[in-house]
Amino acid sequence: MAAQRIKYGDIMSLVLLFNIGAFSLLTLSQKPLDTNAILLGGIISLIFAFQYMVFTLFLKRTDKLILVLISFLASVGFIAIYVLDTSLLIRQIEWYLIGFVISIATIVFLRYFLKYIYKYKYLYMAATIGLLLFTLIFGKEIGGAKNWVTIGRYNFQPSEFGKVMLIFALASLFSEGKGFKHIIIGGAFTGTCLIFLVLQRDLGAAMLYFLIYVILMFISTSNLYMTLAALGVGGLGAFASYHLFGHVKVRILAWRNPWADITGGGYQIAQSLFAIAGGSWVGVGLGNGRPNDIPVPSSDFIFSVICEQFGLIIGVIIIIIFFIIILRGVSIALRATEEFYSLVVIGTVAMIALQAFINIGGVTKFIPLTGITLPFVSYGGSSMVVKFMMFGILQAIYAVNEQHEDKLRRYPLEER
Amino acid sequence: MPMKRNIKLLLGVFTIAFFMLAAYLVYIVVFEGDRNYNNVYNRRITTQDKRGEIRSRDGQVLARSVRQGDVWVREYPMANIFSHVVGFVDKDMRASGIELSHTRELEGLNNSIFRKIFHKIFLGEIQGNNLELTLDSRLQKIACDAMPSGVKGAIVLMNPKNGEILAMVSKPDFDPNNMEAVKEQREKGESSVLVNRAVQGKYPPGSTFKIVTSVCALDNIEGMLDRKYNCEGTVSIQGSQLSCSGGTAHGNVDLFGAFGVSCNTTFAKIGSELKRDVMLKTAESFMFNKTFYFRDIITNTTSNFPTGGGDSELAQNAIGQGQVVVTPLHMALIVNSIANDGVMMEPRLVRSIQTYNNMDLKKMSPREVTTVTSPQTAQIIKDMMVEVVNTGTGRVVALDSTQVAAKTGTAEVGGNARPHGWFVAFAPADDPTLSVVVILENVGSGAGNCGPIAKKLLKEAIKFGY
Repeated sequence: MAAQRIKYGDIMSLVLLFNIGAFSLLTLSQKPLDTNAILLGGIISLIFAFQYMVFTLFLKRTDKLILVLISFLASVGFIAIYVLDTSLLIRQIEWYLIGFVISIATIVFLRYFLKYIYKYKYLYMAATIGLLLFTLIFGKEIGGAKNWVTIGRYNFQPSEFGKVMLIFALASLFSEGKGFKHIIIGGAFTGTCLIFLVLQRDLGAAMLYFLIYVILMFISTSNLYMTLAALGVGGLGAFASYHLFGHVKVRILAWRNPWADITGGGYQIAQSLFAIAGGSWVGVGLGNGRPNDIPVPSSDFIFSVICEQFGLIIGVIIIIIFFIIILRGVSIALRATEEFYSLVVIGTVAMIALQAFINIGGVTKFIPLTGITLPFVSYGGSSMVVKFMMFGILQAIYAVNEQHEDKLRRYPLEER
Repeated sequence: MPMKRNIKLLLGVFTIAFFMLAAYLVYIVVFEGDRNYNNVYNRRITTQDKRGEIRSRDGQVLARSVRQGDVWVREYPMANIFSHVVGFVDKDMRASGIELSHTRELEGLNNSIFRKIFHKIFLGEIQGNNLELTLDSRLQKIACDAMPSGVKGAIVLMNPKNGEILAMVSKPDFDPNNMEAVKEQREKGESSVLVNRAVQGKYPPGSTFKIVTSVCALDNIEGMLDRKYNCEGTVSIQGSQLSCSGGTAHGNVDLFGAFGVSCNTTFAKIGSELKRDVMLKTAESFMFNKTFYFRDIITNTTSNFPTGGGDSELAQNAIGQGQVVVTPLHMALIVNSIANDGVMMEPRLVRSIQTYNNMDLKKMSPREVTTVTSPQTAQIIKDMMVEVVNTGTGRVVALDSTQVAAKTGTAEVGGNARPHGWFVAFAPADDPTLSVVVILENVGSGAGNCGPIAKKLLKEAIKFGY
């Protein structure tokens, strides 16, 4: 146990070194010296160190590796955001701190209530649909999708919070029963969500909601026919939306050949590909290149910015890190004591993984672009806070697993 | 427990997906990086950086960077002669030609990291690489001068075996040393001199397309060579009239005879007999309706063969009229694939890449694009093209020392405008090392106007040992 803690501590030190090193470079590359960079870099490093300490000292039964990896992802994001816009970084640090607090709150809350929350499936469904309906009525359009709600001086994306509710709703539903009835209820509920999301033109979220339903349904019911049927319906829906909605068609055509309409539909993806090609293996160097040529560089296209700055190598490392997070998540799910816990963990991990895949795949032209954020890296309040909530969920169930296994170790006979 | 099994299955799916994602990312950087980066809309391409030299294969400097005050300026010693093919760099219009397609090599951006670090430390800045082109400056100049003044058009002179372009001219041209003049012209709304007609110009191919129609006929109609057609000078297909040049009736002809005298009515009949689908298939095997991806030439222009249309349109298409259009470079590739036993080679402009101090970095090698037909069919077409020079419409190109093979074309453009003239040829016929395509807009007959230019280029190129 002690040996392991030291190991994660070492990785954490590397992350801190990386973070400080990058911000030092940003400081030194300016004449006169850009002291803001090192100041902010220092603050971020302190936050990382403090967060790691809180987890090692007060939340011992948590997976430190996930924490360390998330700190690294956030660090790369912070650096890219600083290169783009200093003032944006300060707000992103605020969001990170809020996310940190939320993650602790989630862990503490679930420690006491995890046992009881499996049964409120209709409440979660109502909450999800309520959030989406609320957005549809009060939402305003930012960047082509009407999925933002303004409260005071903050913009929220309720569909982000809806993701957590969706996972709980489906996990609760499918842990209760696996019959045809449950599959249909889940399908009807998810279908309703999709209609609202498509009306908000939030195609990325629609794709995520749909895939989470398919995954959780398959995992719990093992019903291959219904899974294939659901995928078929999804495919039909995608086909229909290609013909019904102009913006979907534009995205698909831009994916097939961005160069044909480079000043119109293909503009975003072309700019992204220029940046990635410009970065090549090791990048153009921090602060160099033309990151601001890339559209929505701080959120949807942050991966392209990172590839131009740091090169392909960091791009691949980011993909690997997401994969390690998946591995850890799957291990938590496999060890979980209750089916409900397993499903919640799988839903959460799948959400993070799918989002990473869809985001990176979109900006590299691997799949059509859908406009979603890169978890823990992209700028954005709702995204950051919700991802930390998910992080908290994973950690809470990890803690339950540990507790259970400790008990088994201590009273092996009793359990048999 | 089925759920655990399902979770592991899901993990397998994610494993494959993320592995593919990472592999794809590496792929687009390593294999598509240059093509993606060297784009005229990429604002990363600037004029301030020092670029490597561009030289012709005979050692002429075609482009170099010179210091002017504290910035680098690009200089083009041969001025107009290489305007489209070498291109320009400019702060507003960025770049074109080789200057665009090889930005990364010229700026040294795709040097290895070790080379970059070495340059930064010992030379102060990253040094671009030099390019040696396949172009011969002497032939390029001859081609340039051979174009009649005031006439628009293009010339492509190539080696059909390895795809090396020896000369590529498009008129009207411009002086890349004086881009301000080009911009002024543009602002006045004059037709753009920047268009590289050899690569981007879409022209009706006229009778030169009979090469493709003949290949299609030979590959799809049994006993084609023994067939006889009766030419009465005109023919009516689905009510629309189509006639031979000057209304001449060629009488009883076979494929050889019809090709030699370029008999329109016979080819119209052949086309109608072949049907749209079969013709389309052959045209597409010749890369019509397809986008080329060349290493050295950026092209978004596609040659078109109509995918639909009635019999009268098809009859028109069979003689290279109607909705058929082709770029001069593509026509050169069609001729090349006949000369090269049915194999189409990728056209190339860069012979080798050298470091800033002229150490060899990379020698470029030939690459096949596609196989368009069998060597047997190619040989028959070759023989037919030899007949064109010996007894048919292409006598003007005959050389004393070498057997030339050729096809003429005079493409109607509609309205009262004079037709475009085409002349395509290769030599020596039995073992071709040279091919040439000449197109001149609105000059009338191809044989009369373009033939002498083709002849001159072949003669000079042979003299230089090509």
